[in-house]
Amino acid sequence: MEKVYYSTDIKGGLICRKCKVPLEKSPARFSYMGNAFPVELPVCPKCKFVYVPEELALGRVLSVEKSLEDK
Amino acid sequence: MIMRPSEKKEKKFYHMKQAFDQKELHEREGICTRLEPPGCQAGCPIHVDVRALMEAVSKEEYDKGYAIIKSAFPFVNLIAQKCGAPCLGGCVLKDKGSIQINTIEKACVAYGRDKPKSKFLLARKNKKAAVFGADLFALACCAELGEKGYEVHLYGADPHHILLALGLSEAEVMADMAVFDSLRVNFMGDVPIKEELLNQKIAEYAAVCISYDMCVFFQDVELPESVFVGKAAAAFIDTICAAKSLSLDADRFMQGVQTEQGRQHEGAYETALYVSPNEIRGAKVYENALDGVLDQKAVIKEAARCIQCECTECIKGCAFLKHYKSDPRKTIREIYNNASIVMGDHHANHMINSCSECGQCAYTCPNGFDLSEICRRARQAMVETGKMPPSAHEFALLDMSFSNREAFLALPQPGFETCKYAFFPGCQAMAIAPAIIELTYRDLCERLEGGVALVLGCCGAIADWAGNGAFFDDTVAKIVDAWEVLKKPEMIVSCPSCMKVFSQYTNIGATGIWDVLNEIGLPEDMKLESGDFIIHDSCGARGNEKIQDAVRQLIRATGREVEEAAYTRDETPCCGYGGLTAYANPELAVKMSEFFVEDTRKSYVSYCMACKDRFSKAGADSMHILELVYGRDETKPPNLSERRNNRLQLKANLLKTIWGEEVKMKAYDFNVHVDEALMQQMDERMILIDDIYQVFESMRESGNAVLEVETGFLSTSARIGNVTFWVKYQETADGYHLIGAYSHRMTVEV
Repeated sequence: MEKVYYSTDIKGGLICRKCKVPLEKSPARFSYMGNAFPVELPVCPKCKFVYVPEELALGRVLSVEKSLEDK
Repeated sequence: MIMRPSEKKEKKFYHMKQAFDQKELHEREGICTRLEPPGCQAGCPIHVDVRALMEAVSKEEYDKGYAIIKSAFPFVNLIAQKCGAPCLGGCVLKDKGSIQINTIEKACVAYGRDKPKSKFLLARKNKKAAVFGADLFALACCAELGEKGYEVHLYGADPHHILLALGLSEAEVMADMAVFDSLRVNFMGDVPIKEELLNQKIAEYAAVCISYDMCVFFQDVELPESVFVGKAAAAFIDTICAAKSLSLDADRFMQGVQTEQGRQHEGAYETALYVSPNEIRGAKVYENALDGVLDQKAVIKEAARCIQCECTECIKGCAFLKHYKSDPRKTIREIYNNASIVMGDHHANHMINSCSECGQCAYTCPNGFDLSEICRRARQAMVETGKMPPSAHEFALLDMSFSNREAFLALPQPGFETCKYAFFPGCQAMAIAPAIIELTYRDLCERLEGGVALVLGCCGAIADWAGNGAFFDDTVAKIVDAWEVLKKPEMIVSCPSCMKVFSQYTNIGATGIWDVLNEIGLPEDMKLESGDFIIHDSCGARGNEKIQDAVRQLIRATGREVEEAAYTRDETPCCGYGGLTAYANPELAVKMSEFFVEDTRKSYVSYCMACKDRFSKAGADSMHILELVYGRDETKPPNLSERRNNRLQLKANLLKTIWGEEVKMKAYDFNVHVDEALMQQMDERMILIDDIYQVFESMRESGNAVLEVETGFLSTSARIGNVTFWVKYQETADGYHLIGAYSHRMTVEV
């Protein structure tokens, strides 16, 4: 089974405003500088809009970006 | 496991490029002499670490002091009693009274305790060596070879008797004889001076050292290469030095290694270590009557008088080196090693991108070590090999593109087909003080004969700092093209960095606005004002006394007094903007600004608009020379979004009021409301208000947004260039109220 680098809890619920349906925890993939990381993120099951929470963007995503930039 | 995107499963190539080769690395390392010993240590033939000794004694650590002397030569009592202290001649405090090193050594013997080395910690070699002699030289050879792990046989005299004969008391002899407890040194009787016996003895040992005094016995004997004969030495300490040297010859011979390598500093020599006259001036004068008196308080006081000679000239004035607790020698090695890494982490990237490339170190270093040039070349190599972290300078480079695209302008003064002059205020002046630039341009148009064209844009220094040679060349080419279209007017610049770029990389040449104003005089309606200003010299003017003098002349002409800072003219530190430190390492850039404007009660004047801006942000009363002439710009230091807007507004205002052209500014048909605290956070995250508008524009087209049920906030995003921007907001009748904004460079897909 493929390792998942991040998984999110959808606290209190997230709703896709366009499709009017709740976002669901789904597999997604972050890519940067030729590397990719499988993660689980809130995704709209209809329009596939992916939500990246602030704490993820400024936390692990940022630190991985910096590590990859220094490779 | 990290996996690669399936569509990009191509072979990875690793590009490596050193900014300089190993030979250059060693040459440049050699420029820095801070690892050279202080004068006292270099002047001591056996190189006692006097600096460490003084530090230890100043802290009342006599045992440590004892150990320091012992590490240079094990017979500490002998040294303390007999050494003629040539080290005193090397002390930089000669004029104030050299530190009484010999008395302090005596105090170490009196108050310090010996900590004998454990036998088990000593090296043990299988070979045997012999020493022929009955004097200090022989004794020293025994100790040296013994400490190197050889079994040593001494022929000539018992060490005990040698020490007594040298004038030590029985108690002192006993103390020094303890050295032999851990060594394999044996007294074997008389020297075998008969040739037959000599040859037989020599054959028994891997090496034989013969004291100079014994030479007469072997004058006519042909000695094999395993025999080493001492040279005469007049002074006590020189004899020990000669014995150490001869023992090293014998040791290297027995080990079968090259005997001469790395021995250029044997014996006393003159050190290349630089000690600042300021440090010497600040030292205390010798006032204790220490001679022969070992009063502990007086000894400690005297040891504390040592200024601990070291060269930190480059570090003292540079916030970058202080921040990294580094020095140019260490830094250049880290840079070299960083470029040698093929598949690991390039840990020095951030450090390389944090140097302001201001060139201060080349002037503060007594030998001219230019670390900024090294950092610049390292960045160029990183860009060429694709190793430059994309996030380091992208914002600054995009900003430069903006200056030379949306905000660019190159027009002759109305009424003139060709102009004698062109004014090039530079990207920072346009962004920070557009009103002052407008006043300056209008004044130049009014008072200079022959017409003044206007060129708004960036000279390319930003790309040069980023190490991006191709981008720099393109930018310079664009400015040169514009200048040629304007029929090559005399370019008047208000920024020394632009001047440097035009003078060094183009045939444009440039005249400083300071020279123009000194020549044509101040505007008639200008009111002279008084006040003291500490001047900050721009890094672009480093090494150019003419500019530095002209600016001072201009400041004085406006009625103000010029005060020189501790680091001034060629030694001025960077404001924090140079080298794009403000983008690559904003925290360090703040330290750089604060380092110069330490005293915020004072007023500061600069002649680069970026410096003025950085010092204002650091809380200082900071002005640009053009403000002294055309009036103070009362506006707050602009944020990143305002900087861009200022450039656009300046262009639009001038086009409208001078050339009569209406410029349509880009407008959105919706409103975004951002409070001041959030604006500041966006600045820290390098997010522009225009990025936010573009995200909303994208959302209005796609309808993509996520509602947080708990808070009622909406979130949406858009990819702009290499960055995904996210906004969190509330929607009201009067537009979008921003709650938060953040970004990431990674792409995300399902």
